[in-house]
Amino acid sequence: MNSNLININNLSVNYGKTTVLEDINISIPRGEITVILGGSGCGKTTLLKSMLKLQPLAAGSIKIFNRNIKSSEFNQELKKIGMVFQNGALLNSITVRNNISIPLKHHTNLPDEIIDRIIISKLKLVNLEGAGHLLPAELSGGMKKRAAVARAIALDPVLLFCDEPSAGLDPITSASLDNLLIKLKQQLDMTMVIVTHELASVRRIADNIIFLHEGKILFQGSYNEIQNSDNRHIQEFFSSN
Amino acid sequence: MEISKKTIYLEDNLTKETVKNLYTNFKERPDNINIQKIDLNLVQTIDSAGVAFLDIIKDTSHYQPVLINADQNLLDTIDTFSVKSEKIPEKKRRPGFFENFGDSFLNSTNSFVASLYLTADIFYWTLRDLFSSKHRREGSIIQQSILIGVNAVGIIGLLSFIIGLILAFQSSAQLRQIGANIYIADLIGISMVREMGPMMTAIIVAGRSGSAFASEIATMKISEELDALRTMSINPIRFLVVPKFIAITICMPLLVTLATFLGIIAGLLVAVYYLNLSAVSYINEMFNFLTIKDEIIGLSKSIFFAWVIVIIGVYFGFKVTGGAEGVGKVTTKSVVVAIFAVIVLDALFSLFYLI
Repeated sequence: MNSNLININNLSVNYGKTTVLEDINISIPRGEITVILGGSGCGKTTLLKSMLKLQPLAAGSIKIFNRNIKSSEFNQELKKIGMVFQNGALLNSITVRNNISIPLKHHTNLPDEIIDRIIISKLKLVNLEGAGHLLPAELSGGMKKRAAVARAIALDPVLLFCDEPSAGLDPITSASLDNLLIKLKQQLDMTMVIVTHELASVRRIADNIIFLHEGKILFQGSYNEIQNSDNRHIQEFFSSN
Repeated sequence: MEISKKTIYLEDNLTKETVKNLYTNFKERPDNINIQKIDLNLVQTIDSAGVAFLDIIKDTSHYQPVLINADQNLLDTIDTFSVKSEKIPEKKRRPGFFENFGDSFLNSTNSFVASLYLTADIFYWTLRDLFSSKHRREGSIIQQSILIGVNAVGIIGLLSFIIGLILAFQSSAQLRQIGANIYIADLIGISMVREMGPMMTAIIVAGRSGSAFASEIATMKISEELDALRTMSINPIRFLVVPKFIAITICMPLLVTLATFLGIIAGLLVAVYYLNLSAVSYINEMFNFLTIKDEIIGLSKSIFFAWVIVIIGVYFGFKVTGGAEGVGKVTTKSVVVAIFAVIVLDALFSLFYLI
């Protein structure tokens, strides 16, 4: 069995006439945390969105769970995937509790008592106990981000995508979120693909790092390896952080 | 799942796929309150649904059952997801009738006062900008005039023509019976110039532009663009509202004139082709009947309607709270309130000119 959960081959993505990602080849191993690094506008979020079918591909293919994401069978696999969007993307018209209950009610037949407990458990994991009855508009930016994490892990997904999960969080909350991600990886064998700029966070959580620059991969490897890289762009990125 | 000697034996997977049946079986067991031990020896995997089920077993029993024969990985996962039987925060108490009534009254009063302040602000900055072009954004009044006026010409023209046709057809059937065909000109003239022209135009502009004002400003508020303007020491009313206010004041009378003209033309067509009147007699009768006062009334009303539409749209835009949903709510409210206000104002004008 292929130990890679995601295989991306010769991927290119365009916005109009601008090429955002070019000839990307990535394999993301099962049960590990892969961090995508790179400067602003290098295509990190686009790469994440491409893997979730949110972005049309100009060329190449993406296989997740050994299924091409363009195939109709892949839609069933989306239930096994969680996504934390950059700005949270909570549904503003319903409470935090109801936001988290959406995937649980739509994709499982669990009794309400179990669903209620799962919601409380997920809120506790992201330190949002007592905030379940609030509307997203009543939350701070950091709380919204944490509520989005709780919603993304509601179904204990096999694969979790996070777009800058630590952005806007204080260092303590950021570290506790990192610990949560590590716990989820270890205990539920969750595979994660995380876009972030926070190098402290990268050091804590990353098993693999992919460094993008102007839509191309400059580096793939571990944290120690990237620190010793002699690539000018990578050195600039690390020295300025 | 099996319960024996006050021990519950669980096996295989405790996951969201299996928990529903386990839960149902457990709830049906009369001895579920006597469990003292939970044996996890044969459990292979567990997820948050499984942990929630274990918590329910613990909370149902009178004996605080302990977990036995669980490997460390299972225990870690249980520790991560387990929660005490926490109470779900109670929903807020629903206010009673008098609380609702008082709340609505206070809100309406506050809204009215706030809209008066806003009106004063708009007039103040408009008057200041009329005499000083330094702070005026170049081309903003023309751009707003295009959005409010030019882009509305088609829909207002078409609807006014159709309303003219409807009025003419409905009244011509009655007038024909009493041989008073020529009075179709008076009827269409007075109704289009004094009532239908200004009011229908105002209703369409409230739906098109009033909603656009509300949603534009509301979106800017929730995305902190208004705060950005304030931090740059730029008054949002001066920057955003004054161009709209001036543009609508210019456009509205022009749109009403167009609407009135097309309504009268529709009446002319019915008079000529249905009532067999000549075009000359229709026009002569209308000019003999209508006075310049009628035209002034129609156009002056249109300016007041325009001001009401812009003030209400902008007021609701500034009042937005929440996210995208809030924008939708204030947009809807602004259209409803603006149309209501236009009709009430029209009724007041009718009374005023009667006296």
